[in-house]
Amino acid sequence: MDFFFQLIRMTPDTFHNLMRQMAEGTWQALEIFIYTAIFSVPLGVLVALLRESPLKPVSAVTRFYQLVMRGTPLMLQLMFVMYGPYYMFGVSMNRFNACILAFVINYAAYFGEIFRAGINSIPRGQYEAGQVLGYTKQQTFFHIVLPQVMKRVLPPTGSEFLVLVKDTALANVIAQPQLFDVAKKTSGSMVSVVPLVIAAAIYLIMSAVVEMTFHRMERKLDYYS
Amino acid sequence: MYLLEAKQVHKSFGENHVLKGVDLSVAEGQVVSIIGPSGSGKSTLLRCLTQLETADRGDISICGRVMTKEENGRAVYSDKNQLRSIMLDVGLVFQNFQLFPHWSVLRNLTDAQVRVLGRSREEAETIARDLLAKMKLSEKEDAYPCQLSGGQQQRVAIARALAMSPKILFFDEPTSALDPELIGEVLEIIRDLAKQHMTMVIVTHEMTFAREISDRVMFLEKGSVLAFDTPEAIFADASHGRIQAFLSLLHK
Repeated sequence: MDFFFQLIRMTPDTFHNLMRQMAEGTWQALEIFIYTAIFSVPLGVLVALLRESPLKPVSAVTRFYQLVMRGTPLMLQLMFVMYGPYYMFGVSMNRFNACILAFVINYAAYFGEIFRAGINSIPRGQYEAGQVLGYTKQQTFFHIVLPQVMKRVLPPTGSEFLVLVKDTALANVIAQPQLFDVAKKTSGSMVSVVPLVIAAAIYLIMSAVVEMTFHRMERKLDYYS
Repeated sequence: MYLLEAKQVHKSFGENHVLKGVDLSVAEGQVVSIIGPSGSGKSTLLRCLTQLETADRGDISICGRVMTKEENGRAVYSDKNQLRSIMLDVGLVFQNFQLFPHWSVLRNLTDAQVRVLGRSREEAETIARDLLAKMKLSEKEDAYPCQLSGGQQQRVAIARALAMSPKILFFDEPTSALDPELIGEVLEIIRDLAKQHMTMVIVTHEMTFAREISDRVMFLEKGSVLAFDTPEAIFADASHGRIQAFLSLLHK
């Protein structure tokens, strides 16, 4: 153990203090991750449906929203949501809420495209089979189409979740505390690479958990093709 | 009593005039086959009758209820509730089965009964198991569609349609997607249904089968009815020169 502390050039106390801050940062990053995941996925389904709306203006507005969200830096969007209301109307946003809002509307735009591809991949005959059996349009979509869509979009959705794990670091730009923020500050104050290595390991572990979760979900839906 | 009456049904897709005034009446207990070259409008006719397409012109009534009536040269459809109750009187078997892949065979047969007709789960399962037994698929109730052969899938699809207790059952080329050795088992089921006087309208390329089970055969070409007659008349009568030409082509 002494060898370990010599290697990282820290006293046990400093190390424990560092780890405590890292743990807190991890939890804060996880909060961003979880809230974004919870809100952006259902919103993504809505975006996909609006984009496919037979009403041209609805579809066009949705497409424009997606273009803006996917065509400008998320970092800039975070700044805009956080400081925009204050600069324009003198209203300040709660930092955490602004952070989640920016992440959710950004990720919903990407999920919208993934789900749209998934929805369009279900043969028209499935809708027709639902229709002739007397299901309403809503029943057909939620009970027949959507479960099949979920299976098909699992791989790209998993990928997007992996990106989200790492994107939580962007919250730094609006000074929302989280893992990257902790790593940056502690490595600077300690003049040490150790906090960066620890943060990298934690991001990797979080990613691995996400990857394994999606792998397991895919296996669970393997029973049909 | 006619369960299905269609008069002067027209349907165009853009410039393409697919149905050019088709008449069809089907009496209760009758089996009607629709034959004809591909592109003649057989499937479009079936899709208009099952509300998967809307007719441009014409009258259609099913089980005494008006689905659409021609007014001023265009088809005017009845209100939503009427159309829905007509839909529930009608069953359709697709060429590509269109079973729900994420559900077991049993769930494929019970879900609509429970969710749409409001039957209890127990009742729906009793009806489903009874039908599976008739389809000789009792041991497959827990299987998923992808685990079944094409012939088995189509028999499940027929059972799924029957589970909704339709008054009239439509088939859109029910054996066209099957390997030749699997066609027989599906035709046998349809034959049994004919014996039980199920009212059926079948679009098919199986001429021998159409001849054997039909009360009436319609020959459709380029969107018009060339003949609508007993199978004997259709298949034997040399006066239908075009039909003979089509049939002899099939035999080559």
